Amino acid sequence: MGMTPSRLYRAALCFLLIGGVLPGPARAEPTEAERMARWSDLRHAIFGDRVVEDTGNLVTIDAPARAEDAAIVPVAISIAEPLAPEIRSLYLIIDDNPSPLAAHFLLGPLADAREIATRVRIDDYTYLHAVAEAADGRLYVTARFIKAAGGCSAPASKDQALALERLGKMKLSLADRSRPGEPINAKLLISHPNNSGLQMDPVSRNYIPADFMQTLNVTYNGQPIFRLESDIAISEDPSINFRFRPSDLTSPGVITAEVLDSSQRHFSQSWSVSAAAQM
Amino acid sequence: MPGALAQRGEYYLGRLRGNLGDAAIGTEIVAPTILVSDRLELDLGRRRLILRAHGPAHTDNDLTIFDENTRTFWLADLLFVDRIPVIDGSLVGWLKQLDGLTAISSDRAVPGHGPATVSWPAAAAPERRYLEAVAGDTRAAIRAGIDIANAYRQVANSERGHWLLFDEYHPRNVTASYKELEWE
Repeated sequence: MGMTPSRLYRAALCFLLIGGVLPGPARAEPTEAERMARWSDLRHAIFGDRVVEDTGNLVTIDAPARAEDAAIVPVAISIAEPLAPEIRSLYLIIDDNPSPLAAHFLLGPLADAREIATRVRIDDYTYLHAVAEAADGRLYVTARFIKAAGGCSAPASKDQALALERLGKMKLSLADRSRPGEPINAKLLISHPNNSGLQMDPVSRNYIPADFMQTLNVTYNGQPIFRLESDIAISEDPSINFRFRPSDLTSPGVITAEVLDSSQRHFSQSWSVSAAAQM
Repeated sequence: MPGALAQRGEYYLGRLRGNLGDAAIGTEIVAPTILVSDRLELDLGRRRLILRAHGPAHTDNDLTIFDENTRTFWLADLLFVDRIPVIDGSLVGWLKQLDGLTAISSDRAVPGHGPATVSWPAAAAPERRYLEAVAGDTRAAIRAGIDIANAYRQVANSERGHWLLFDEYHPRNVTASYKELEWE
């Protein structure tokens, strides 16, 4: 079996890091030119020689300019209405993180790409890049600068007994739809430490081994809404906001979320969606 | 406590060097050698101190000290006076700890932030009021589907004006509380 694309990216990114800029508080603040060069390197590592088009406002990132907590930075990627139906996948890249490719969402036929959001760890002042890939293979990019530091090594939440007891549990909230025909807004929470490998164990004082969600598959009646290939930059207790359009509006359906983590643990949970919630 | 110092010690030293410059040279982190897992009585000779360790509240390693001679109660950062409390452990846990702490009678309390001494348990009232407002309004924001980035805008606004450094720390408190309460 060969390497999956995401593993290939990671291998390339690791290589880049060894020869490139190492994040950390000791180094001087990079210049704008250095930040541009970093993005250029990352872009080539992930997308090769493909053209990545700047789209103005077609793709946007919503994130606080300065994070309240660098370990839980909410980031939303929005795609403008005319482009949204064309989008098949979304990449979130945190340029100056130790592992820059934070998330790759592969959207299924039921997904509505207009907005997808998660929470990430940010290690240092950095650009975020979102790249949307259309069905015809075109790539659209947007960037946003964010001030946050120390998120990758920030200690985990304080109640570790509770965290262990809750491991793998999930919670799905569906917003009421204002109008029929509108997509359903959903928020999925997954209880998982998503250890980055850069956090210290308070008792042993060794680094806690990386243990993170690698893939998340979300389906509706067996049809894919999205698949997320994720990494250590996703915050503890991953949270994903997404939109989808149920295939059949007249009968109840089932949403299923399946998680595979880097320790090869598998978690799965299903929720029934009443026909009323879809009206 | 030694664990918390190991995790954050470098950060503290960095901040100290940043703020004090050369005056910080020679400062080092000294970890405690006697640990309190629940309760410990320290006899200092004609002065008996009762040390209590607390569950996650302000942090995950909160400790209070009661001096029986003078009936003085050191609350450390479980008691903030005038300066906005920082929620770095558990909001629900802190409120629970306050129930137990305010039941302890003492002649004076020493807060972690605020005047040298305050009256107890009266001095805990504003802190409890703030924490309860954060809990109530954050739960309401979660129920209303308001996302974590924006929740602080409508949480405990009535408390602005009662606390120093409100705008600097309140949004972060709401972020931490949101993350804790969204699992309820």
